[in-house]
Amino acid sequence: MTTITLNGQTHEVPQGITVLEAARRAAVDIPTLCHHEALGSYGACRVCVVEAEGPALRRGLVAACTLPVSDGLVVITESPDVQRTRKILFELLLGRSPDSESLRAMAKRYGVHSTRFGAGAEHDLCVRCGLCVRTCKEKIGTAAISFAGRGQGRNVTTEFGALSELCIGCGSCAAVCPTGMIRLEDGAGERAIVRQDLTIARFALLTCTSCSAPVITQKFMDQRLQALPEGQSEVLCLDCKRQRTAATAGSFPNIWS
Amino acid sequence: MNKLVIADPGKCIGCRTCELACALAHSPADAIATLSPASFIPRLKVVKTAKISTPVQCRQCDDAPCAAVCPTGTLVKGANSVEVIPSRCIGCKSCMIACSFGVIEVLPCELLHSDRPYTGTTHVEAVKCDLCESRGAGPACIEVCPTKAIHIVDSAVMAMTALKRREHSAAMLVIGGTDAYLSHADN
Repeated sequence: MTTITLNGQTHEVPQGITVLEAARRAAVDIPTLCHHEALGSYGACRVCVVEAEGPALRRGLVAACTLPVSDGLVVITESPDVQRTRKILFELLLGRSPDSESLRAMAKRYGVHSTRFGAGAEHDLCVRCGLCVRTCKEKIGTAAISFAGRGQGRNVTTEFGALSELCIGCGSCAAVCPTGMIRLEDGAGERAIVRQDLTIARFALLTCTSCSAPVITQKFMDQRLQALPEGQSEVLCLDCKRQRTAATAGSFPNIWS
Repeated sequence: MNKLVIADPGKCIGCRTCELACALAHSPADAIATLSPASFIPRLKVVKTAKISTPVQCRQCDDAPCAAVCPTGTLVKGANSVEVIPSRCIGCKSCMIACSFGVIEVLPCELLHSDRPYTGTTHVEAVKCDLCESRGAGPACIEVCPTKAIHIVDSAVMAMTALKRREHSAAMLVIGGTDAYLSHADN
């Protein structure tokens, strides 16, 4: 165990975790955009900035998500320096993505209602946090999308900006996107994964073998469900699965009748 | 062995009181006035067909396919159930497809936690029966069922079931001999 001081209170925390994790365990609020528990720390968005000082660390502002806890570390999450820096960070993010509702709501909670930056510049919803790219590559194992370009031209895109042949249509990128830049659109038996102005991939959905409702893509079945035993890969919608569960409920060990 | 909540279809009258109790037990405010059609998210669903009516909920499989396919460790084997660590969910829906009972869903967080401010990331969460582990009085559905159709099954109940079935088999042998038993088993 390691002892740290968080906003004046002493906490015993396991060795090896980050300041962000320690703060969340202690129910201390630190905002994040590029952090996800399923993925490792990345340190792209910087809004988790805190003030820290320790035996081996000179007092300064650091990203809580990449700072490991160490004995004697003193962390302040709401010092004037932190608040001022965080406000500028949110302003910069808003300059790039002024139309993102979730980003605006988050900025508002930390006292940022408008931005001085980004007038006349290119706008989109993407804050370049990299969650979609990392989820796709590290967790789904697909890497259908990745970053291309550098500096202001850095962008999340498919191979050559064309419809992706690698995408399996799971929609995890859309689910983890903090700003709504990537969306999963289901309609009329088709699924599209869309990045604001670019269609990442388009699929015809497999239909439920019992009721013909659209369920999932063929590529998803092929790649994500390999771990399952044979015979468990029938495509059924939730309602039809439940109907089957109910139909077999009578044969479950029944000692009450 | 994992514990599970299961209903006796013979006693279920399809009133859906269990659904309401479940939705309430898992809603932020635990008050009916706060529920809306969108935020009514019971973790068990009453299925009614011409032949049967019964609530259907997570079987807490010991060899859980949902946990096997989960790429992020959101679904893990707990002390006596399959547990969900919602903050790890990336919304890939592998669990939803893998579950052959149709009792796990991936749902938007804004419906699940209207009380919680958005802190970035994770818009979705895997949702299923958690045996009301955080509720002192045990599963809410069991408590409210007017016909006492819902029960918790643990290893002791399982052992008793096996014993009763063996006794039944033995009784059949005594009553009707092997032929009668076999014809009964065929039916």
